[in-house]
Amino acid sequence: MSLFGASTGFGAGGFGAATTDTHNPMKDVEVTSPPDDSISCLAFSPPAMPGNFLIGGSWANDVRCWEVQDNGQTVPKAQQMHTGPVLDVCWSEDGSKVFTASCDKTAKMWDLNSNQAIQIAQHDAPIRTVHWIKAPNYNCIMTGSWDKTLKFWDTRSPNPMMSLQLPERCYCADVVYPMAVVASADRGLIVYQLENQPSEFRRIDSPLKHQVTGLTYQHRCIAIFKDKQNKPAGFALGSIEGRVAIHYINPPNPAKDNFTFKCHRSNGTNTATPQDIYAVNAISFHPVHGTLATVGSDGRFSFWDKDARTKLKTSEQLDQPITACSFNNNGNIFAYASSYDWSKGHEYYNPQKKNYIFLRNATEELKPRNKK
Amino acid sequence: MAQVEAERELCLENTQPLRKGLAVTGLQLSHQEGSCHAAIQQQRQAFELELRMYTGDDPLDIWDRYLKWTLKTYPQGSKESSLTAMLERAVQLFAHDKKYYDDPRYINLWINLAQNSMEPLEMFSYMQANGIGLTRADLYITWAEEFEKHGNFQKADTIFHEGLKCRAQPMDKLQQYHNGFQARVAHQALSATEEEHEPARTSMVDLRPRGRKKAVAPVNRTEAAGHSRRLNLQLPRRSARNIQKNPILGFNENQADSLQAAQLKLEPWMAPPSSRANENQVMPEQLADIKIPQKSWCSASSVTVPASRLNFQPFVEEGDQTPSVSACKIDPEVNTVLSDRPPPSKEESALEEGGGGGVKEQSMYLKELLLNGAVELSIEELRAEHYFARKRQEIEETIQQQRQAKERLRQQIDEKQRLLQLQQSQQRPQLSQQEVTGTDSMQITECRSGTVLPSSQPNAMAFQIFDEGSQSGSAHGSGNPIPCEKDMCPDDVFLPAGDRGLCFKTPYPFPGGSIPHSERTLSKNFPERTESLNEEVVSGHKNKTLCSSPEDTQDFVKAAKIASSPYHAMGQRAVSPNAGILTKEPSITPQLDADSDGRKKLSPIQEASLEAWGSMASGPTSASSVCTNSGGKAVHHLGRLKESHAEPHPEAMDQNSPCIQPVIEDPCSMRVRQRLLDQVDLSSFPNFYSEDGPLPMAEEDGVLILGNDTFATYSKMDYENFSIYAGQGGGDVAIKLEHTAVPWDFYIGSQLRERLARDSQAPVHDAGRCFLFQDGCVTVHKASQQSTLREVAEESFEEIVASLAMQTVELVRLMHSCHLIHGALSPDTLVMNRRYDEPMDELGAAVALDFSCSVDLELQPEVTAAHILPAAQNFITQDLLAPSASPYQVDLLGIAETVHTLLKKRPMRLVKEDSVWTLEEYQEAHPSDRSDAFWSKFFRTVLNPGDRPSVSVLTELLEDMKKSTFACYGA
Repeated sequence: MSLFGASTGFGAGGFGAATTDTHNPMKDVEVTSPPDDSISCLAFSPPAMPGNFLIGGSWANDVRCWEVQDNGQTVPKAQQMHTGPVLDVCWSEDGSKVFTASCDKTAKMWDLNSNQAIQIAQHDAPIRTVHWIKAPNYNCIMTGSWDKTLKFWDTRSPNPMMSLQLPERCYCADVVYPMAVVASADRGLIVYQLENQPSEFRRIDSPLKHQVTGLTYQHRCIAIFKDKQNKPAGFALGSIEGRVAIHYINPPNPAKDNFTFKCHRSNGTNTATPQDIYAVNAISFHPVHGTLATVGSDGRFSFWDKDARTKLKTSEQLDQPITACSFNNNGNIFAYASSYDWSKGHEYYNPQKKNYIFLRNATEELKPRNKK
Repeated sequence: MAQVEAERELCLENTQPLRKGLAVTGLQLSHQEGSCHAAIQQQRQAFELELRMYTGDDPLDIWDRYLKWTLKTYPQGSKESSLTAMLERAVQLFAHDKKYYDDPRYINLWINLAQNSMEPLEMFSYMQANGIGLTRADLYITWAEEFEKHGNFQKADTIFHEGLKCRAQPMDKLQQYHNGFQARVAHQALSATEEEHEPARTSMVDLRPRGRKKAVAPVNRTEAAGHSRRLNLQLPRRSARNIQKNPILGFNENQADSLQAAQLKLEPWMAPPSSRANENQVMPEQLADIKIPQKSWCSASSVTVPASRLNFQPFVEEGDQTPSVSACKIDPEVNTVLSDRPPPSKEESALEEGGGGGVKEQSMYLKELLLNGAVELSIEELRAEHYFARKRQEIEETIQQQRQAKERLRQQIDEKQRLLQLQQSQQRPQLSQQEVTGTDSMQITECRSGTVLPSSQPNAMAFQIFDEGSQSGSAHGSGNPIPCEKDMCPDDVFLPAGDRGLCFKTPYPFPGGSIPHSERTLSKNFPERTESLNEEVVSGHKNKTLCSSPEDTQDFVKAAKIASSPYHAMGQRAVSPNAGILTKEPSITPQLDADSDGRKKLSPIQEASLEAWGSMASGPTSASSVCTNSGGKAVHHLGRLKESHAEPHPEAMDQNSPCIQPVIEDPCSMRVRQRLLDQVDLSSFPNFYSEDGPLPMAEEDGVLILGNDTFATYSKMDYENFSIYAGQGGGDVAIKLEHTAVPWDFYIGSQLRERLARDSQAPVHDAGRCFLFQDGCVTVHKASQQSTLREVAEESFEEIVASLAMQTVELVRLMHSCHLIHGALSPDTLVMNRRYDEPMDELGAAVALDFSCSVDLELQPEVTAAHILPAAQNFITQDLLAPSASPYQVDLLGIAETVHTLLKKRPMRLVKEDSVWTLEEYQEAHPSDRSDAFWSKFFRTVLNPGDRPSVSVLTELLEDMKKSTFACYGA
């Protein structure tokens, strides 16, 4: 039986004996040889690649590649090192290359065929995001950095094709051609259009605004979603305070279509004790259903249907925060990484604690509600 | 040229004057917009990070420096400076801490905030009402000036008087300003009637970066007469009239006002006044045309309103909706049931949760840390800074080590040359003696010079990591995407055991070299050692753990793990097809690339093995590079050669010896010991030196000259009655300074050495060297490992703690076999006998740096029961020890306490079960858990020795521990 292709879930249990250990309460498949420090990012290979390959970057400065076989087995394939923690990874369109962004202020291109990595980008500060842009008339890498710039590189030249000034340090970004969106410190939110050449399209007031206090929350993760024509339609923006905003770029009715929802909180119903609010660490959209997954500092992942505006599922609580997540190209596998996200500072950091990457069958659980 | 000048003038026009004047650098920076932008950003970021990373006890210092930097860097204000935000944050941060209320730096923050706020006067009265800065003259001066600026001389004067009444410091400054103020008032009064035109150069003193409500006309920049003139210009009618009425008293606005001013009522303030008016803030006002149906509002407060009905509301969320159904209370089981509900009800259920109107929220991340500055930071930025701090420290350490090694080598050479000269001239007979030590240290040098040099090489490479960006120019090429499918199918090499994998090739097998090794070990080391290093930064003991690199073992374990992981197999696979690929596409990657990126082409297995090798090799290398020698300061010694060798002065001890002996005495008291030592001829012991004069001054990072030896002292640890320095001089040493002239430590150490020597099987004990001064004594121990057990255990696995425990047990066993009782075992005064990553067959004993509570039962036969020992009192009160028990048992409990502290980092909590003492945490120890089993047995043994002699208890225990596979160095 093929584990990920089949419609039956394997989350029902049966993997090993039940223990009090809460590192894997959802009984998902563990990826072998996980990184030795917190996992900062995960990315599955694009549809152009046969099979599934998972890339994970970590604070141990390494980027690892696993092959995920149909039976759920993972085979470690190779790894590359940076000289600083790795903060983001992405794949090229054809799956032959992986791009990595690091605190060492460089981005590298890792050619999986030759297992060589070369530097392709340079910033004045750690690079927070890296994205592959494939346009009809150009291909490039977009890097966003804490040096308050967004740069575009063609991978062959040491100089960027273009450098755009950001109002603040780049905290997160996403690209779905022809749209790119960057969320920065100090609640900056900029949408870029990528046709012909990248240019600023619109600055948006942060939708993550508390209407009562007027305070806004720090942006932490962002993911673009597509409409029925498979064109980017808007984005989901996750904040450090257990809240996600769904924001359309050109909604017919902004007041109606844009909304925010709360997530990754505890004591939801108990009004006597304060509600614990956790950071939303990552958002990922299901490539087929258009539903989304959020993962948080509370050690839970949740699946949501933004159109029905309903929650599909929330996981049990893991014993560590979930720091990254990713769907594979056909949406059968949901990968999530359990490791310390530093949300409580270094005092709570335990280098001895093992980090995990789990794989979960995502076929059924992410089906939208109204479809059958 | 003139245009440039004009531009500058124009800029200066908008520049806020600073009391201290403006730094030229700041002005220039601020004028060259853009070019220095990056530099400013970096400096700002550095401050922001420092605010977060600071762990000392004076965080205000950073704020103070940050403020000064901001004022200098942004003389024109501007939003970018975030000055107001920063000031608000800062004053708020320390508002709860009354100890800062009179701190001039804190007051300075407040004053700056006030001056940058809309209503400075409100701010000042808030300060006064809250008792902030009441004793600082600056408050009164700026406050009075503010009043003066408004033309309210009466109040300004009152403020000055108030300040003088409170004796605000510095008084003379306040007085001086007050005098100046009075002079101005007087001058104004005198000139009030005169016609005064010709205003001097005026500027907008009050111009702020933001708009201000108060329209203050240009005033004089010249301070003295400025205010009066402005008054004339600006308020011609009112002030002129008033002044004419009361020419001397200044102006008297009206009676009520002056009364109020004179008393300066303390108004209660709930919160500091707002310092800024938000731009574009919509104030609540009547909605002109839109009528909102009252009902819908009512329902909105109790029932979730569908988004469509509120057409003016941008987002459906927050505030006034009920916490109807929150996401978190739906547990998965229930949720599956819910999924069958019809869509409309779902719409209300999950996503459009009610805002937390009544729900209190509590952030579960380090919010205060992220927001603890003028700008926010992300979690990752903090973490990265942590990482970088660690990395910087590591590199600094390497540099320092290299520098030390270099310095030492240089001195060695000097010394050798000097010695040669001396030898040739054959000046003195003493020389032959010196020569012995000289050549001795020479040998050390020579063997070091072999090790230091190679170790410096990888260190030098380490710096290249930072320059990696510079490769960017050359590192490109080979950007030739090879479609995967093409290679994948036919290449059966990549399909072992039915795997269909990516074909990773390694076209240029790396020939093996030092570059990858150094990079790998460095980068591998950082993330793990983050914790330990930061502690060092905090405590400021740069060299505290000079020799230790405890993670080396961890690294090795990790490397071994990786090597045996599937990456291993992958590596083998990757290497084999190389030859074929190499010939196929040799032109893709230029040779240059192959060199510069050599390390990237390592197959994982090579990397792993190199790494393993690297971590193994780094142990001895770093150890040897840190070793020191007595020759370091030998040059000085030669100068002292002519002086006579210090003779031991036994009589020196007699000076303090008491005449009266009480009947019952603490066996550990100085008096008793002094008396006991009088019976012993200490001067006959080797390595005992008695010195004239008082105890020399010792300080951290200083030099200590003892007898003919010079020691470099590094970090210092203070204990109750003594302090211990880590130092160097003939190898790494620990130097213990006591302010009592009773060399008891040395006596016990020597006894241990002598008595152990009786048994040819027993290990050799080094008693160290002792220098007795008139008012104290110094004991120098060789300590190849300068970390105390506590420091080692801080960052080690349980298995290593186990070996520490064994070393401790061994020490006590040896002492007891020599009829010595240690008396005060503590993780802070024990050090390991060697670097623990050095392979060694014998475990050995820990080195005790402190014998101050020790008892020699051969010399003190009157100590027959535990209750006589002061160290036992605590155990006796806990009922752990019977008062009549053997005094040796004190040490067994000491072992338990020490090891427990190492293991659990907290005091023991003991439980008595069936007259057997156990630790709370091992009360229900799981026998299958190796760790539990090991420790539970250990503690049970040392806590319950019964009547058996302690030496046999400890011998058995040690054998048991060695047999256990749990401890790292067990078998």
